Amino acid sequence: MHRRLMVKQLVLATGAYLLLPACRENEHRSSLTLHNLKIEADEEALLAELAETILPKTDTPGAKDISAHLFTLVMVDDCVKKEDQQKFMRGLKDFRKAAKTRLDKPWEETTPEQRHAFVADLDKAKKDDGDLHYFYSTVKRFTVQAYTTSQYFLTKVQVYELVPGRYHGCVPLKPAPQTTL
Amino acid sequence: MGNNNQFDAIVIGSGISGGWAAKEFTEKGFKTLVLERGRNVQHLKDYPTTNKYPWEFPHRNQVPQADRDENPVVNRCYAYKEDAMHFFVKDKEHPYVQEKPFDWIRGYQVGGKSLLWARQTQRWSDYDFEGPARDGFAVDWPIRYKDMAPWYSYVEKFAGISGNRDGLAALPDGEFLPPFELNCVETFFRGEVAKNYKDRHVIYARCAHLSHPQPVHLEQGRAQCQNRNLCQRGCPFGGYFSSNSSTIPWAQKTGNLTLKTDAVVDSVIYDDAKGQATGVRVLDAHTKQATEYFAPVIFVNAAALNTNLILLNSTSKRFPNGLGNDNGLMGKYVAFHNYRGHVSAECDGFGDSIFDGRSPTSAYIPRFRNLVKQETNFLRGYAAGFSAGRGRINNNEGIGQELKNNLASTKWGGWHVGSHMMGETIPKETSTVSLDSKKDEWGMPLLKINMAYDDNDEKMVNDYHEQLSEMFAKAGFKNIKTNDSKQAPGLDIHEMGGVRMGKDPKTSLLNEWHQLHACKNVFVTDGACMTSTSTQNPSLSYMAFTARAVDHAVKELKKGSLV
Repeated sequence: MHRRLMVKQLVLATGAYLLLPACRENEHRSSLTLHNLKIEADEEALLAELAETILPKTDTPGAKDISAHLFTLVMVDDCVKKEDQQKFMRGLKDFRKAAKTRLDKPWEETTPEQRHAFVADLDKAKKDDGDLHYFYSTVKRFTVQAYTTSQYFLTKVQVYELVPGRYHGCVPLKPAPQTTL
Repeated sequence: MGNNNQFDAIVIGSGISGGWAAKEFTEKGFKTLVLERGRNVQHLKDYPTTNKYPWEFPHRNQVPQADRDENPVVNRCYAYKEDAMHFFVKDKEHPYVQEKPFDWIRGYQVGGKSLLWARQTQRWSDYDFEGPARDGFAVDWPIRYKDMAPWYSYVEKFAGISGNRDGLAALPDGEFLPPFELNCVETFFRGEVAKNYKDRHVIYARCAHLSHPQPVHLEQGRAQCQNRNLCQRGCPFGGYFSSNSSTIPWAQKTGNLTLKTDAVVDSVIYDDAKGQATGVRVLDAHTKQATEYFAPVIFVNAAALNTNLILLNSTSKRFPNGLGNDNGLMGKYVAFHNYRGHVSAECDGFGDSIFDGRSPTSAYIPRFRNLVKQETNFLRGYAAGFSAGRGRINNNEGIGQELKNNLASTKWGGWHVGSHMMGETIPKETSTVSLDSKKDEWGMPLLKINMAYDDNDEKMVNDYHEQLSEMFAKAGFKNIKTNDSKQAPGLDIHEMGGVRMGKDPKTSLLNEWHQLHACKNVFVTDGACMTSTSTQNPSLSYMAFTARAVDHAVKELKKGSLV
């Protein structure tokens, strides 16, 4: 249960991982070795459910489908300052405690509806400098970033053109039909 | 000699000017050795990120924190991101000494910084060449626009420069491919400035992109610019000019080029008996083993400050203070461009208009201050970039379905506009690069850099803020904000001088043909040769200087010698 996430080639592994949404089935997932963070398997699972609560699977993919929680871990591990990594880890523990207090049971045993209610309140709560808020806003920021830069989003929602092959300086703005997500 | 180490010409460096020296010499039949201290980067083959989508970058183009902590200088460069960081020198691997803060941005590989440049290409005019003579700083340039004009044409045709013929005395027209368009608000601002000022112009920024390739470009294996704006990764179309896509493969096709990579030049060898330079001493970047190569003519194109370093390190009985440094001025009068000032604003209107695709350039405001005569309390002037844009509104509110709806929103924000300054700085004797007593792992002295902004620069930033704010206000832009980045010199990546040109060997190092006054078979045509800096992006001038200097060298060699 308390297995440590291990991988040798973090960058390569995560790069490949993010390209292969089919790998999301937990049993077959290659795991991450993090350089700085110590993340237990249950903490990774919590992050996955939190990301999924922020961006749930509907008719369209959710956060888990694009491994947003793993992207979050890679970013916090590689691109965040040490003191903020510590804040993130403290916040993660605070989050678990706060959820348990509020929902009266461990995070793992809650329903998607209960998780939504808890996270929606957290999202609306007044921002402060506390660890819990830092943790939550960091997870949300990286989850949204993972989602809006995912292959799904950039090919189906807002199409990214690698090779536009044209430039027209001034054309009428045609209101694009609202895409649904 | 007559061995494998003997060549007809040696070129130190394969960046934007070294590549041109290689092309010109090899085309004229010279067996040419190009020495590059870094690794090879072959066009197409060695652009590992060029076709990657955003989701293929593990950190979505962000540089990891450990790299930022280890290499604070290069991390301040706008282009140092996950997609191009492999083309930059890391601070940690190549240390230097900052007597005053200086952000030295370097590219040690075949192509040098020509892979990474911002591709802006403007000619100098006589308002620029005559600056020192008129204003009494530095020394007079030994050349004028008429000397350079045919060579600007020569390099523009081959490199491929997109631009409008604007007919401005301050910024002579060139051999242009068609321009890309300005966008709605850039065009609007152009009209407003024309209405409000007689002597100020907003033009399409000329750039080294193939908007409409000609046979000579197709022959290079290059194709039309595809508006990717991912140039810093290396372009799979060869849409912009770089040594890698253009001059180096062209030189290779002649069969006369020997390209030696991982070759750190220690010094130029001077033969006291012959009274001329005979070759170059090179250290293998990996084994550190020394080898000597010989040629009757040597071009030093190591990039401005490293050219200073090599020449200062080239000591002999005749030149104890560096090759050609009889007057002790080598390494002095270095300068840069002042890029500190920014002005931003919002533009109401044009809500029903947008651009489509991506433009590789934007708009440009040629220098208008102190152009024809001195009119302010500071010397010289500045050019400015100008661009307008608008983007989709980012809305990350809420969670669940609400957030999904917000992320899918196709609502557009309003237009915003921005400008940055490109100011001339005055080369001073107190601005120097010199050799430190500490050595690097190849036994080369570390370069010690000492330059800073002065009162003239401070006044110029203020004036730029005032004038651009006024121009913005007259165009009806709202919420005008000025910003002074206070960035250190060097981050402009336009360091220049130290081996300046001039008429008099007592006060300059190079003559009108870029030859060291005191050692005529050694030429310097990169940024080190700059007597003054003016406001233009300098690369186009380095290309033209190089082609002109090689032409001269070859003519002289055919007559007999370069002594």
